[in-house]
Amino acid sequence: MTEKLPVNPLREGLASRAMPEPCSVVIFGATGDLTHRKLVPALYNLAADGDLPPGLSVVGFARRDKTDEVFRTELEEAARKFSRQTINEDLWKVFASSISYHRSEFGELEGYRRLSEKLNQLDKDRGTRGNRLYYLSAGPDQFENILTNLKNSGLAEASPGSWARAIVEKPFGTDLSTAQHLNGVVQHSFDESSTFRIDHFLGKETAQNIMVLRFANSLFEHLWNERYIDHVQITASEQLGIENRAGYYEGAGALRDMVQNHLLQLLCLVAMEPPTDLSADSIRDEKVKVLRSLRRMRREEVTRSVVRGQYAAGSINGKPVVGYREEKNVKPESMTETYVALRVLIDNWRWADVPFYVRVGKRLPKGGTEIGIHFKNAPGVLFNRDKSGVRDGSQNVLVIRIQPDEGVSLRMQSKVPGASVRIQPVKMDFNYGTSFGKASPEAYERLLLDAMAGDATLFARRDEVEEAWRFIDEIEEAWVGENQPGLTFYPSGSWGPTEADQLIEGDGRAWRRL
Amino acid sequence: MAEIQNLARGMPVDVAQVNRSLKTLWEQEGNVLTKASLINFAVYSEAADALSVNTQLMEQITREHACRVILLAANPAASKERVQAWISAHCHVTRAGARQVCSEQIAFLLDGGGPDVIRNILFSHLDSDLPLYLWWQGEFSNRIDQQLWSWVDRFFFDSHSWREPAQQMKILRASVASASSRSVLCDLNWRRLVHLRLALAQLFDHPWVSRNIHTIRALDVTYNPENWTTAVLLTSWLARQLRWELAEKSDFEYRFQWAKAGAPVRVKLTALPGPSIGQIKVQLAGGELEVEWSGNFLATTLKNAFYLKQMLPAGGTTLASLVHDELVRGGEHKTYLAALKIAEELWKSE
Repeated sequence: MTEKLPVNPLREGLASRAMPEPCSVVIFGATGDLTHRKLVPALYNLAADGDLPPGLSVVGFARRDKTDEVFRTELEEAARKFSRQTINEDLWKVFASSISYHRSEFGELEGYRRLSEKLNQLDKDRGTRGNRLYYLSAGPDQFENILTNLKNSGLAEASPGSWARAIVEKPFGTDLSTAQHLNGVVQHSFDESSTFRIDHFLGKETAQNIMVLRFANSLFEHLWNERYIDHVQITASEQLGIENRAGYYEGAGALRDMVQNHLLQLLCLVAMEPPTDLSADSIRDEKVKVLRSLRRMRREEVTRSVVRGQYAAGSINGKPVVGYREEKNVKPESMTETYVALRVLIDNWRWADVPFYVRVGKRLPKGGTEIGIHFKNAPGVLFNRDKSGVRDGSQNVLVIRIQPDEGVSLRMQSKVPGASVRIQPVKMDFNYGTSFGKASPEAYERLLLDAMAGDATLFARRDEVEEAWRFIDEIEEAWVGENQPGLTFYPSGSWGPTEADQLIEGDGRAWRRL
Repeated sequence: MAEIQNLARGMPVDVAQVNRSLKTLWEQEGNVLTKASLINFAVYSEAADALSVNTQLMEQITREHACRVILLAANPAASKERVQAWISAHCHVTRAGARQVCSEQIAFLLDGGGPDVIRNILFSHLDSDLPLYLWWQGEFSNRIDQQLWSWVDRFFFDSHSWREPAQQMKILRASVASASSRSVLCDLNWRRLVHLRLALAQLFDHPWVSRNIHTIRALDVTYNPENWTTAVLLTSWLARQLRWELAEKSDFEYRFQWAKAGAPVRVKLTALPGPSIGQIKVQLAGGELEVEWSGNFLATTLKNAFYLKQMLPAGGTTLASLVHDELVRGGEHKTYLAALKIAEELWKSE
């Protein structure tokens, strides 16, 4: 009789996270931009860090005709260009030997049957035991095709003791009804526990640090409510325009492209209650509660609380840039917003009457994503007596910088040295790069590894996505039809339309200076 | 800026004025440099060239770990008691670009004097509210001062450099027992094994290996002649994790047996010039696992019905990279402490 050992006794003390089992990763849309820029560099970096499971295989699925060799060469070029780590020849050679290419139309069932045979063979050759991770990196118009054929070919069903999971890239629909339809299609093939809706913002180190900051420190959480917090600002600004994404962006706009997913996710992390534990569902339950508590906006409320703008010609870094309507493949009369600012209220006990100001825009003076927690003023009894009515500059502000220059800073009041009592704001600053020399992994590395290990914490659940759309749809609906709130224009290189300033200034507040 | 950059050799300062001198120095630099510190990192050595060697080492370590460095170079045999001090800074450009981040360093040369002097010098120069990591280079002649020990959060040492590891570990254990310390023992010799352990663990992740784990009958380890203690630690870890019990030992060959089942496992250690641990081979019924160095990587191979090869990071082999690894990974090293019990048995001479 032998003593029963843990699954892998050698892992004790080596890893604090679940290690993925050997599996095959199938990428649909393998010749696309995301595969080249993000997925393969992320997989290579995981290999270089020794985090990939033994026997892992990568199968690229796409429509173009090409050999394994050509596919590998293309991926190698991409990895050299986009990987955060330098490519090592020997390592690449071994990693590339796990990559193969599978040509098929997305709607051709026979192609999936051939894929199934190929994966079965890989299981035999590499001991992957029928574990499959399908990454839907093709255009959203192909999702239904792919998911239906995965089901009809039997690939969506895992053999006993194995698993089959699907990672779905954004956009998860374009409104509530398309999202519900897409979710229905996904769940016809994969159950919710095997569905991983990716939002790369959640894979960022600083986004993950929000929960640590709030719940691992005793300092902040007691103050994290309407008694002490005046308002919250969430900003995502970009210097870039729409680059070559006119086709997608014209149908989306800033609200659908950024707010529905990334910024509402950040808002949830800031506003949620402490989860009962760190399991994926406990955390996602709390996030859904926040989304359900968002005060819905009727048409007149949208006019009062939402500003939408579009960039006009201007200057970025001293160079002239064209306006949105002059961009290639954009309609000259386009009403698509490239900027949006919102005042959001959360109707729950913790956040009653605390506005969350959310703004996102393209062609702004500098790029960055930050969350500012603005605390209420200290009583104006001793030092703040002559400052009544002037809020900006005297409040304590806790800033969480998501990107770039990741870190946390706290602004506080301090006496300027001298005989007289003069007070000036000073900043305490924690910077990831300064304090931790180690480079953060790319968001896709963390997320791919989590999906392989079956950890859905950093992925959006069905009800999260649908609740977010429910909120966004009301704003979108107010923007169409008669008496719609106007689209405002702002010069490229400015901080957005003046109406956005008026939105917050009307409440006696001001946007943070980034 | 120019002044602080010329400080690589260190600026001599009065021992009583170290903190004031550092403050003046940073005030002169204004906003050009950022001083950062997450830990107090003290390094104790009795080697003749300790200050210059450790200054170079800390120059590398501070690239990724901002800390206050306190170098203690002791010469206990000196007839006259004297303490000299120098201050300097290790400045590095951050990944983000232009900003330079600096870790300050205070170096002491301690002639004569005993544990009291070491303790006092160290305690009076700590950056407040930060953890204290102490790296003890070389061997222990006596127990470590009890009060000093109680302040240390992580205690670094390298059992590889010990001539009599069993005896040294006995002194260390006595030090641990003498104080109600929460200090974590960080053996760089154990850290030397981390990437090999990860590579082996990864092979054991494979379902075929987990199914056949109890059929392991032989382990062959090739090690550099300087690294016998390292090879023994590796063997001890495997024995502990797989629940092997020692049945018989010589210096280079051991016989273990699986707990309960009693099936034998032969372990052979072979000294060969090369990396600290050059190759590990594990024989199972119907297959073999192998980990060996390949350039800057560890090549892992699983040979049975199929042939799987992977390349995994081997990590650095220098002292600076071992310390770096230890600082990055942290942990309480409970697995080490468990393996150590077997290692101490194997380290003992007959």
